[in-house]
Amino acid sequence: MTLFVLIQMSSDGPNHNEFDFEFLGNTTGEPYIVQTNIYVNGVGNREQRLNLWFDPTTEFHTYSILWSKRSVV
Amino acid sequence: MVDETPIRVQKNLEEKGIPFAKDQAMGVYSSIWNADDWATQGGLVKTDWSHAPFVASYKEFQIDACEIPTTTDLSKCNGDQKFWWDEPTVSELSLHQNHQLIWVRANHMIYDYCFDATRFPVTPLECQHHRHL
Repeated sequence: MTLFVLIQMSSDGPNHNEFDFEFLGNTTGEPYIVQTNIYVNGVGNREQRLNLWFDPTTEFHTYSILWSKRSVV
Repeated sequence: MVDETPIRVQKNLEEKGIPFAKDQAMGVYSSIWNADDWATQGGLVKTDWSHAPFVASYKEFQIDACEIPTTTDLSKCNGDQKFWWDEPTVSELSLHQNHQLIWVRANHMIYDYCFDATRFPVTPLECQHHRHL
């Protein structure tokens, strides 16, 4: 399965800002991958990917983006 | 953050000339779609539609922010008022959270654009300042 669940914060327009929290689907038995990306002034290409340490399909978990003037966590 | 664990931190390093997303209003969006043109192993693994329907479920969604009347009128949120998310205790990681982030990066990170010298022969500027993490 190669599907894609997205949680995103973004602004509008060509010079938009965006924080992505993306769940990449997988082949049965493989860990699920979360990809994050950051766009600043329309420029992205800042991907990070990690294997989740649990199966996100069996229980609810909390996924959050904390945005302030000092940082994005 | 995944549950209580930080997985990524982007500090505001504008004083070092690195752009930071802060001057535009933002909205929150969520969706599910087919991305088998690129998502898994660069699109090599195709969606198996025999498993359909695919369902994404959400609960207890929370949003707390400074709400603006229109996307062009940011004055209400750009003033001197301090919000809870401006507190250093919120916007900076605690020692424990720092350790959690190191654990995630050491044990679960499989790709970081900061270390992709093929894509970026010159290390992106913000990565050079994040190296100490």
